[in-house]
Amino acid sequence: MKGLLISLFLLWAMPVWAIDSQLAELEKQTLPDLNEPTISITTLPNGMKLYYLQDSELPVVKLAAVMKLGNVYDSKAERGHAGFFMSLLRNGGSVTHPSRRIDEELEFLAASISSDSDNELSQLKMVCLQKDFAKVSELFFSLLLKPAFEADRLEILRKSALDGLKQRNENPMGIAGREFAQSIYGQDTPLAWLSTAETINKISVKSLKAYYATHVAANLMTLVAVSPLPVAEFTAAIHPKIANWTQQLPAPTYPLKMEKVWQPGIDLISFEGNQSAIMLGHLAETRFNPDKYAIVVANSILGGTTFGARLGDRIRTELGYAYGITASFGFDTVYGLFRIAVQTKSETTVDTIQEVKKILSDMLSTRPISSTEVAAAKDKILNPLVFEYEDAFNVVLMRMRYDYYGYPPNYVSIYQKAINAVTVEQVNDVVTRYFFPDQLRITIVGKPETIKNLNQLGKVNRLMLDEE
Amino acid sequence: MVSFLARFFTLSFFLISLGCQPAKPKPEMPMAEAPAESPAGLDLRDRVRRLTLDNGLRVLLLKRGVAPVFSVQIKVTVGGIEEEPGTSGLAHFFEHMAFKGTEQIGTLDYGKEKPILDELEIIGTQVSELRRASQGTLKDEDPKLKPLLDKLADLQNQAAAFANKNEFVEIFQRNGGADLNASTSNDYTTYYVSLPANKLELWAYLESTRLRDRVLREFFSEIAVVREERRMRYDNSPDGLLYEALNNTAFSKSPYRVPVIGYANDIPLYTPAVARAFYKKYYVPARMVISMVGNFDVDQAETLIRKYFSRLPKGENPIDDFPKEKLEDYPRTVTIKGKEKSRFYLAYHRPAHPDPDDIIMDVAQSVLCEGRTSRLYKRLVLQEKKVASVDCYASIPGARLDSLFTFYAIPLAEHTNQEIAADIRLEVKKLMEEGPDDKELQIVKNNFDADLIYSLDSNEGLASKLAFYESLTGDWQYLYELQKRIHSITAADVQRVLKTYFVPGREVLAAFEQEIDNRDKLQTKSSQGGAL
Repeated sequence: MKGLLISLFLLWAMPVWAIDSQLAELEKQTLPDLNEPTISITTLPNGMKLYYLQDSELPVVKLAAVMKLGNVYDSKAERGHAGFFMSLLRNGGSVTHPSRRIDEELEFLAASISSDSDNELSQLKMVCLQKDFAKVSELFFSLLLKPAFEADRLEILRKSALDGLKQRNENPMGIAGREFAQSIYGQDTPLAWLSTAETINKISVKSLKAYYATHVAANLMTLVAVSPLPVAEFTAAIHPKIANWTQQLPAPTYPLKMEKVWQPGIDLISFEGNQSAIMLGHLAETRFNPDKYAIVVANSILGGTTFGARLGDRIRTELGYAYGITASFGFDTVYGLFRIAVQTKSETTVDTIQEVKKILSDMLSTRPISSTEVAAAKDKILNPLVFEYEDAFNVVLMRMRYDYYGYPPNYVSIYQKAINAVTVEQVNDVVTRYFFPDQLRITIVGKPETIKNLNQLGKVNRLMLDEE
Repeated sequence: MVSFLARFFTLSFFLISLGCQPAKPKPEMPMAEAPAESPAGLDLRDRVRRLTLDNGLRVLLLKRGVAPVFSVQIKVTVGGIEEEPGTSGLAHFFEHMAFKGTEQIGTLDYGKEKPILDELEIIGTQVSELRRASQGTLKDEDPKLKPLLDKLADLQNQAAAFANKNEFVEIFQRNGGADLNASTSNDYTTYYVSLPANKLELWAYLESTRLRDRVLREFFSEIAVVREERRMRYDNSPDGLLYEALNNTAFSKSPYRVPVIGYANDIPLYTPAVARAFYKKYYVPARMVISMVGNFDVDQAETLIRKYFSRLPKGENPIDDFPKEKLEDYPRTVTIKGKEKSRFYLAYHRPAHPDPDDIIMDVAQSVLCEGRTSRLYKRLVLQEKKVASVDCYASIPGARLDSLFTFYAIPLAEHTNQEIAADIRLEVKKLMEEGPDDKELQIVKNNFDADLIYSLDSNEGLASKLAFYESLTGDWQYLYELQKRIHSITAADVQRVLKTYFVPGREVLAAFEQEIDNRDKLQTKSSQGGAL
């Protein structure tokens, strides 16, 4: 005790400079190794896959059914179905359990079932206390395997979706994002198309049932789960609920093909307000491009976050033009999007665009990326990777998604090594081959009358958001 | 699922009451069921280490999880309500300044930078005073202002040459910092980050240093950033405008009237001297709570926190003294018009913690709005299909002072704000008359109990929850007191509270009404052609 008191006294008396000298030392501490837990991967008798991790920390069960289903797999006639389908799968009840009863039981048990859908994968997910697993999984599998798509619930969703069309022009950055995507991809692609009253009104109970019959099958579904139960016990618990479901379908092939071609230009969409939302960019790259790691480092230096990146340092910190500015470079199954997003007051719209273009151009010419920047960017990318392992369910889901997209099983480790190996020369090489400041597509959502010096931007296509 | 404990996240709601009829006699309620014992290892009281440093700073430490990471919050009891008139938004602005570094971090040569910062402060303050004296009418081109602005710009350029921009943030980022940020509410300012477990000492060093030795670097350029933030969150958002109008209308004396971001006219008038005085007064350890959750060595964390945070001077903790709202001239109504869809807040004045009715408000919130089986969801979304969703917030805009129980809804086409507000009043009246049934109350209890378990699933969420209850009530274990009270609440309690507070004499209706023009029907774009 005496020793502690003495040491505390010394610390109080310590001058600031003495403590500050520890900073470099504190930063030297190496980060822990990344250890992926052992995930059990099995194929069930009906063809479903199960990715499972036993996690005994809490008496909680999380289970998701992930389906190869999403916008990109919808035919033109099915446009807009994927999202509606997943929502009704959750909300539309089952042939054995009406939606009202399911909602009541879940809320009484403090459990949840939810759904979501992205371009290629969709999932139905349940979370409950372990003691309620039997009851909640009964509801979960009844929705998944015997959905009713109740007409009344469809009408609720339809009314809400139709009304939502009127709200989607309220947020200027929301408008900029979707119009930018359309200007790059075109309007008639699942990567950019929008719901309309026509597509919403075409959806019916019949079309949803047909959609289920043609898109949902045991061989196209993966269960992802975490619970305190040993894997054998968990599998035995769900087996009776799925054993009789043997629906099989041919695996859909990814339908989109794309050339890396886009049309540069500037679009201005009129919006009442004192601030412009701006999105600038072009097509990015595909998932397995070997230059991916150097591009990731380059984008981080350009605008991975507002703080400590070239765009934010200049646009926010030095000029005070914006609250935030970031750049993202998408690697998708087809070409993703390279996007810079920023909001600034109307008067500084043109100045901000010019500054962004200059920062991009300088990166390719007068201000190449330095080795110091590369080293810092690597740390920023690699050191937070440990958080990928914070949540047990996400660990399993991540592994399942990596497998789905065709990554190797130890991809996090491969990614870590590849980022580590990137050199400053590689980064400066990729900026000249994957970033195109002279061929930007720019979308501005703002009030034309208050945007100063608009003519300095050259030709601007003025677009109107009009009535359907 | 009822997210009961989510109320500390800011918005909560309210309720209304119309012509109060006597409640019908109800069958005798069953005896209150005591909360079940938490399974071994799940009772936080067995696991949280709580300590108070000699300077008054309180610390909560909880080891959990498998991954070698932790999340930590420093919650300071200072928010918009501490601001003086004319300095609205200063608490939030000060939170921005907390990322600008110290005398050692964020500078290339502080010895050379400091004289420039000092001169910047003198010129910037003169600019601020001129603007304040002219009540914001002075143009930048005015001969009195322009030379000062030119000088200010010149000094900012000089200072920039010695600034190591965003170094404070970058140190966290390159050491694995995730979710690094801060937030300001009417009640609190909170600094948070998640880090790898072996960066705990680095965190303690950085946070304690910035709390003690921060430099008001880039002060005047940051004002422009905050003005952009205001434009983004309030000026160009129908919800932002409506929320501001709600609080402006609901409160006349309470500081909850003032928006956290600040009024547009006040933001350009901040000066370093005023900011420094604000910091000195309110950033005292007795108003701070550190809440750390994750996979770390608790003994080591305690040692390091004592080592670094004991450096903060004790200071004097000012006594809270806020004007109370006089409930006069209600109901009140405010209407904003615009091109976006109609929507509204319907709010009722309510007392704050530690009023015993506080928790009953939460129960009313759950019964009325939480989940698909709640009364308003069933009626307005499922049965009558008049709204896509309806939200309740038990305590807007904060929890430290008397606040508002608030409903929020966006009517679907063909329905109006007034119609939905009337429906809500009727449903509240119905609940007031008949009270919640046994099953409704049991759902609330079950969800509260389950939330205590689910909350152990997230470092960040749990750190936030512990910090909130410790800051608001003085002891995070109040969570378990709440649990006990929840389990003892009866239908009659809910009826009494509704009758007391959901009355016209406490009601505020803030409505955003759509003005019909061509923009409400926008769907797709068409090219008008022509270059500008």
